[in-house]
Amino acid sequence: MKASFEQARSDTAPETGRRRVLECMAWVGSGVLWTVASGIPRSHLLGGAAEAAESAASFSFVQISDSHLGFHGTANPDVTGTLRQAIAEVKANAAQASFMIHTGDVSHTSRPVQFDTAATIIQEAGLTTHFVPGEHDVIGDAGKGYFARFGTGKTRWYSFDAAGVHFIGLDNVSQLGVKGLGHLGADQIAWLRNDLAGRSRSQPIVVMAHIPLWQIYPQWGWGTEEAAELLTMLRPFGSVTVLNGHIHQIIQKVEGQVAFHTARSTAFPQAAPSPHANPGPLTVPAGRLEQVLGTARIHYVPGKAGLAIIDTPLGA
Amino acid sequence: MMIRFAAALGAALLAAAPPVANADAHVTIDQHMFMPATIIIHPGEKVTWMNKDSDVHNVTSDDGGKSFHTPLLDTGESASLSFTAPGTFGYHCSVHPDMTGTIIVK
Repeated sequence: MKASFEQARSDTAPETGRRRVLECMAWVGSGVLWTVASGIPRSHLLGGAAEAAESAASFSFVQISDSHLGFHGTANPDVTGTLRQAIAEVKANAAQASFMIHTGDVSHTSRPVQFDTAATIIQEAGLTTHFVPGEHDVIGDAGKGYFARFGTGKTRWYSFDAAGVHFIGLDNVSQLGVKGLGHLGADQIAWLRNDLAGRSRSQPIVVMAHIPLWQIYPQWGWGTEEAAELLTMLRPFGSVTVLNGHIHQIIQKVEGQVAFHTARSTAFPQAAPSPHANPGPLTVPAGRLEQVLGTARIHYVPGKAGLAIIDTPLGA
Repeated sequence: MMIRFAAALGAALLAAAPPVANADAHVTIDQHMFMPATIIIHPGEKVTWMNKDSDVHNVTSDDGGKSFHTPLLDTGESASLSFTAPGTFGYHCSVHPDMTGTIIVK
């Protein structure tokens, strides 16, 4: 796991317009605070004055991802323990969060005991949790067990509003593309188009899905077939934050006012995209595992149209 | 855990009951690879995939799993498919599309 963000886009224009600089900051201490002001992400180290400025009247939620309960390889012999640790750390700050999201792969092989154990641990955080499915959650039984526990009703996708932010939970894993890419399908795309229709362009949008909704590394299936069509639908909005899991590492990208961000896993890391690696569970040296697992916290500050993403390793 | 089932491979459905396999072919799954990637068998023979990787994988025919597919195989699990009709059948892991293999039945 690299000790810095993988990708950044630098637009050196002064901060007078809507486009500002996306700074790439090295990891120091517990994390990096991402602020999205008018849809434009900026980053700064935690613990600074800017962090304190975010505290007043802000709304925040927690993201966890890729718990993979049931995994028992050398990359992490105790995924239940690391999920429990992550949830304990979330709970310690739960008063500051309105809810939690889980961006998929709750289980490793879709087995009931894996879902039930995860649900029991996750609810210990004391936060309402919104889930989107990962391919590991639906591949064993076509999603029956997952949606019975974590689904929201008629469709496998949903949206809701919280504190003025519009949240959209998508399913890009139930029908994987031929090459293993995420796939949304015509019905879900039509639903999303309708969900966004008529919505104020100034309303902040948060989109959640398991597989990255942009093309990171299609050779490993790290992308979604309808990514370009999705971006076209989201581009008119002034503040869009896309939160994904699946790749077990932090990678981010900004396209106009759309900020894409992937979260760490609570289970095990995966290699950075490379033709010389494979996307399997990555075993790191002893004592390093906590540093490559973690959670994220996302802040929205009313009136600033701003969101911020703080990635925090376990044990920080 | 051993998972056994026969693949319904096109014309294979029209064939008589599959003869007893006179040889078994084995494919090992490890390090996100099918090994060997290409295997040649005779009609009626069986291929067994054993997952020795720490990740989960499956075997999915390149037509989207219509011709054949296995359940998700965890570490230490295996699955077998019988191929009764001659032909060349490409497959992959639907979770990890960079993992590919070929069964040649002749």
